[in-house]
Amino acid sequence: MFKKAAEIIKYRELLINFVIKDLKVRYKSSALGFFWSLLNPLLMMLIFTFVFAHVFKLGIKDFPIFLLTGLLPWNFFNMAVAGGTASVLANAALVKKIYFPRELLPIAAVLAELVNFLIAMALLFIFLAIYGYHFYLYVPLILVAIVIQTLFTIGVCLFLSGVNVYFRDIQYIVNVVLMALFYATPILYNISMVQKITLFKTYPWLLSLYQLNPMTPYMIMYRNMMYEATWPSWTALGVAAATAVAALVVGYLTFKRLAPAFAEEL
Amino acid sequence: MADKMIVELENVSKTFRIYRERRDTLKELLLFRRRRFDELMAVNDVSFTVQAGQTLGIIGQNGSGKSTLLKLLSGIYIPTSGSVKIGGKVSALLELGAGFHPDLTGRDNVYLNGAILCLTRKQIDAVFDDIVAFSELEEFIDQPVKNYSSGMYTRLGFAVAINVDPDILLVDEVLAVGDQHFQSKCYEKISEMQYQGKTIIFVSHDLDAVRKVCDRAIYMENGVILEDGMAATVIGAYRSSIADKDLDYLEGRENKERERLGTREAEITKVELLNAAGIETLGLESKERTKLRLTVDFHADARDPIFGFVIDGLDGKNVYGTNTLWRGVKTGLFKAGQTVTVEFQQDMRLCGGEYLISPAVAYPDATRYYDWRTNVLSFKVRDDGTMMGIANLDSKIVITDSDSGKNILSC
Repeated sequence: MFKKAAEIIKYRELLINFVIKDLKVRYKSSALGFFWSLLNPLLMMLIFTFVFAHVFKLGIKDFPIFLLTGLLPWNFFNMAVAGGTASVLANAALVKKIYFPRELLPIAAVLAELVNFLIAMALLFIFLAIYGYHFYLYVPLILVAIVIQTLFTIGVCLFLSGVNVYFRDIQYIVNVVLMALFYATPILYNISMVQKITLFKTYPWLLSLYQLNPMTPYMIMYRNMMYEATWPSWTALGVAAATAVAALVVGYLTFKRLAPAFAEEL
Repeated sequence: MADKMIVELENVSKTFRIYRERRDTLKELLLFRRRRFDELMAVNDVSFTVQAGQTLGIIGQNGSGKSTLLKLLSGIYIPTSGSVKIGGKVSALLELGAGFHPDLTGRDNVYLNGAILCLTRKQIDAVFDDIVAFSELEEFIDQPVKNYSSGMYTRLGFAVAINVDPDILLVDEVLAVGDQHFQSKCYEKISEMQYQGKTIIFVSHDLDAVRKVCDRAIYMENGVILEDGMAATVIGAYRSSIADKDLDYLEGRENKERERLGTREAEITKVELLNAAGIETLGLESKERTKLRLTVDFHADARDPIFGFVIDGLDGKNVYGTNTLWRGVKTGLFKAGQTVTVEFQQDMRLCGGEYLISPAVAYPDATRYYDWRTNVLSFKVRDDGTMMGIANLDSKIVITDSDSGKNILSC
């Protein structure tokens, strides 16, 4: 794994170029270009705020802020997994004709989304400051959380992009799972509301199942630090770090096993 | 570094599984149905080494394993068994502009492609102007490459790959594209790289190019190396094996006669090519004494008809032609109902290749034909691999020391 990491560092220029390519190509022919990566979550925020704060009256304070602290990290994960899963397949021409560490493709897909995410986060920080949230102390830990989330996402994408070469259904399944996961993650609601769900009280195993969602700890952490302005739940941080390591190992091993035959299989 | 082995292949085999039905879906995976497949040995137990500074040509027919071998060398394929050792930086031109993204500009793509070939931004900055100058795309470099013509695309791809400054350059047939001017620039660049002591491995169907560029060649068939040695010798061996195959093909093929002109008052009813042994054939050795025999039936009286023939190359270029008129001969009177054979006897001083014969019988003023059968026969000439072009001038090469007058070499 460390040898691979060294090779990836050797190819870092290419990695950077892939990321730039991803970003450039995406907004090339749209008039608003890069702003879409900011506009999109803002529009989603308006819609969700209308539905959940005004129609359903969830009664959450500063719902737009509450929502964005969860929605932006979720968007990062969501877009990165969708793009990362398809990354090897989408670059089939390249894989068949040129040698380079194949890991670069899913990693670049994740990093391109990370760039978008960081810009969006910078904007969110400005909002938070305007609304008087005292998150400043936690910025270093927020960055740690982002790093852990990025590693976790890379692990997931390594696994999915490798398997997707052999079973193309994966990318469709991933889309459905991501949609389910969006509602299974406390983004639109608070984790504390989950404890009160009667269904979970009658069937505790459903609650356990719900708690397996690897994205939940991230939401808890981000909310802690940005919305509640407290230290993050250390349990959540530990769980997130552990799942990130596990995802990286499984993703790396799977990808390593599958990658040599990509050129033939594509 | 002259004797350093920069490429070492040891018992390398590559097997592909050709599945009879595709299983792409998860459903089929979950059903655990075993897929049936055939195994295809694309490369079979191949071993060779390449010295640093050598230029190696790999030749062989389609499907002989050349490109698979190149992909094994570039690391795109992992060998099924055996080992591939590469002792330097490889730049592979398997497909020019393979890494290009159509929506990005030429400039962006140069950086992207350079990075794919493992260059840093600084290194690309340093050669960027050379790349653009070489591709002659100065005006278009800031346009998306989707607006490029295929020739422009290729030029840019080649310019990037060649300016990467690799230790080993792998080239797959890509020089066949581009116009004459660009091709000669490419070859110039290749010989410059040879001069710098770079190792080049070159796959091509263009045997003349292989001969020009390579000092060594490998001839592959069905994934096995049949010949490995001096380029000229290996090309000769390849040519003769191809010629044998083509001969079977030519003989089995219908007459490729395209056009037949004339009044048919005299009719060429039979055209035969006889080798030195007097046996009818379509395959000749270079310089072989050959008879072209025509059988002509006269359906009307004819005075002083002209008998002649032309040999053309496949490109339509005249190779040779002669007739009785140019020799100043009056052939006399032929009666209706008479049948004659006309034999043209000559040494086929031609280089290896395929040629076409068009015999004719014409009126004495040479403006109208009794019978002109265009390209009625095609035949193959096989040479010993020591020449190129059309004419076999049977050169002798003599080297003499100018001071002592001593003969150093003659061959």
